[in-house]
Amino acid sequence: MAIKRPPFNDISKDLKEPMATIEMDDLMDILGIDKKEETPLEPINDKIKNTYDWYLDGHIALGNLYPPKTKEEENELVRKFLSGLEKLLDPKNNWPMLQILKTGLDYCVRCQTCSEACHVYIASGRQEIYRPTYRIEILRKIYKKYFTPEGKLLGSFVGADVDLNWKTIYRLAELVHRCNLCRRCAQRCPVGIDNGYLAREIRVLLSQELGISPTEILEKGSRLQLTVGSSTGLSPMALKDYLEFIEEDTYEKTGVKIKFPINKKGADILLIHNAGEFVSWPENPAAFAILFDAAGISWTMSDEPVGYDSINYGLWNDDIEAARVVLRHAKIGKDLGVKKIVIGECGHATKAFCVVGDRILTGDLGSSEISRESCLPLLWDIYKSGAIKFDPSKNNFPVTLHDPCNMVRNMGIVMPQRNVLNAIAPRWREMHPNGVYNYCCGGGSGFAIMQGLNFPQWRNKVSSRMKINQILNAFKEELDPGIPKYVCAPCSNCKGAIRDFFEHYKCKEKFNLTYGGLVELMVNSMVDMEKPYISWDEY
Amino acid sequence: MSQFMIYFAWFSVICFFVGSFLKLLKINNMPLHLRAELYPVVHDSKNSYGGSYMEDMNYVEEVRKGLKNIWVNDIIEILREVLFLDRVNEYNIYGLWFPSLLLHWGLYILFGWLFLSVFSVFWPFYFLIQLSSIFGIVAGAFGVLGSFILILRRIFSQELRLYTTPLDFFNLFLLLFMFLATLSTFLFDANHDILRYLGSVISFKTVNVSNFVIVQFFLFQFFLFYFPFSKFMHAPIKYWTWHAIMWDDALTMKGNKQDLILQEQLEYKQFWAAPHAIQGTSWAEVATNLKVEERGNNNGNKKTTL
Ligand code: SF4
Ligand code: SF4
Repeated sequence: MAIKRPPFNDISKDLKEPMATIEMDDLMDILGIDKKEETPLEPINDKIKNTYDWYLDGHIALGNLYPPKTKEEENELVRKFLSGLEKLLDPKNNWPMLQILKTGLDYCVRCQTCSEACHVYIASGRQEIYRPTYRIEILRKIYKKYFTPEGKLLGSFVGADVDLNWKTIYRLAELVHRCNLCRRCAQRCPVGIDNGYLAREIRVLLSQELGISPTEILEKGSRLQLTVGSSTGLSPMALKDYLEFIEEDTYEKTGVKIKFPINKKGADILLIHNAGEFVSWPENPAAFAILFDAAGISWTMSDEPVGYDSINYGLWNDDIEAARVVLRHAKIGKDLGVKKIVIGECGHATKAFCVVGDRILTGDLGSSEISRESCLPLLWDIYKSGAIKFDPSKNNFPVTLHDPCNMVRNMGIVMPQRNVLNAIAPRWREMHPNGVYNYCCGGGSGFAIMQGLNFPQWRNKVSSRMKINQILNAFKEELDPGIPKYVCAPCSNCKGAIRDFFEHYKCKEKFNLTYGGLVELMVNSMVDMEKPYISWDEY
Repeated sequence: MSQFMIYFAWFSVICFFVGSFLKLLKINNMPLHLRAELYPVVHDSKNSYGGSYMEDMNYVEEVRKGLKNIWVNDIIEILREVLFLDRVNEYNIYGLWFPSLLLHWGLYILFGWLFLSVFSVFWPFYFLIQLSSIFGIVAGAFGVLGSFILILRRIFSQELRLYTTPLDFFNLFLLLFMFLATLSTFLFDANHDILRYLGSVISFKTVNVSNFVIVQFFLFQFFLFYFPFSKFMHAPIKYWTWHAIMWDDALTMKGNKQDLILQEQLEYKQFWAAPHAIQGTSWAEVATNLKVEERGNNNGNKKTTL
């Protein structure tokens, strides 16, 4: 057993061993997967040891964060961190989250009621550093030490006892990337403290003040989206090629002709997909097109930069980038004169645009002027309208539903997807817990796209562990690989995480599991479709 | 009894009310935050399963027409936590619920005791005095037991100990001694001095009272004075963390109050210093601009992204 309870100040010390190590024996058991048969843990390699500060848990999420070389650089880091924290506590620099931050820093009673909610903490075997409160306690100690009179006067008596040096900053930066920001812990706090959002605040400080962020989230994420047009790197011209390819491919596979409408002024709906769908799951935007056309919906897509990629990675770490993307999306919709903007199957993008954006978009861009919605209610409406005939028997295989945290726990969109499944998937069943209490897929807050160094190993082994266990439990009577099974995950990021852990746990071979969105299931059950739409061989 | 205790009594009461009020006012007056609701949002009519108005197509229209929010649910849910510590009961695995419940009820009853005692000074009915004594004894017993078990739990549970600061222990010991003193006043038959003490505070006239009563009130008054500056404030904070943050699902409509507040906040200057930020510009400016060198780099034939 390697459960460690490192004192908080270890985060700032020269260590010989990581504060915690991941070991198979400690990890939570998964139904149907013997730990001995699991992909073994890769030991920490020399490249990591020689290049990075790897003393948090031996895994590296921030592959772009190299230790400072000089004393000046070290001091500069500390100076910037403190200036960032000062801004975080300032009503003008941090109006977006100040109330949440301050109440969270000042009134946690350290009862640890929140801990058992956290899939990361539980799946790790209750490794102390992953407890929802651990990382926040470190921030609180720094805050007390530098920004409160009692901390300055009384020091460790009031808990102001963590040294701040570059190691503290680097390990804390890693540690806030061991939280999916799923906010499940916040549902349980008797005081209303939100350790998920507090972890995000640390990420905001790092990103907005020091430019520290995983490459995939900032440099190759928001930055790429805002300058090139999409975090996938797709330019408007490349997008055109992709869409043409999807149109042709769909025709070849299904015999259905689709044409993605682009920049159709005055359409009722502007549909924005996560551009990752075009690249990784083209059958998803194609299914939307098939459904919308069959239902006679007036819709369009945009090929304006940013307008064809719904992602908003600022949601995870940066209010400036979040605001930029939200504004751009809204303006594109406004220019096209659409009645509403609908986000495709992507949870974080939906929340960023509909919920967070609601307090960024004002006046003529406010909700009352241009409505912003999730696609899920629309999909249920398509079914209810009767415009399309569905044959549920075409979906005669076991299905379970994953609730993306951002659309369900964070937006309260619970029933539309269930209503659709009740209507078209006779063998669907819930996983447990579900709805607003569901567990994160393990890919939340950017983890699904973070593929550098050994971080995917941590994600698959720890943060996605609860989800694979939930999925297998949902199918526990039908684990036999002779029965194909479908995990319906109406969210691009969740699909990214699921794709990776299905591979990691060999779910195709062992259990014949596949995954996809809700629209694919809908199209699969359309009476007018001559061939099955879901392909069981690929994922 | 010295003049000090009289002035300290008034000072602590003023501190308790004014200090708490100012603290809460400060929190209340913080800028309007981004929406950060977390479901179930209890006032939503679909709260039984955690649903929201965003489950409906054209929800903006529905909001415009007026949602059927059940606001009383916000109060009920807060009260359930304040009175029964529901979440702690359901989810805490460190055995904190029962002692916390005792401690919380000890405090509520202690305030009840004070209230009844002050009443008894003006209307010294036998029944009222007896009732206040019962309140005092029960409060003392609950509080002593609750705080004592909590101290033990925090010492002997490795997990809790890691997180418990000396200040947290100070707070618990303060409560323990305060309740112990309250109980002692009754156990050692000094309680008849309570009304004399309160009468002297009200009339500003010193009287001689038992040392038990002096210690009891000294600790209680210290608690009142200290309350606004301490974590004890976590009780009223729930109104903000829950009602004003986690359940705040209010939609921004053009021209409504919220819209105007946000427009003002978007004009705040921000000074974030990362390379992609633009220091010294307003939020509205930084959100609609990229740095000059980043513009027009979109590989295609389209205009700049922002
Ligand atoms: S965040 Fe809430 S539940 Fe967790 S320790 Fe603090 S007060 Fe307790
Ligand atoms: S937000 Fe989610 S992942 Fe993060 S600490 Fe809370 S429960 Fe764990």
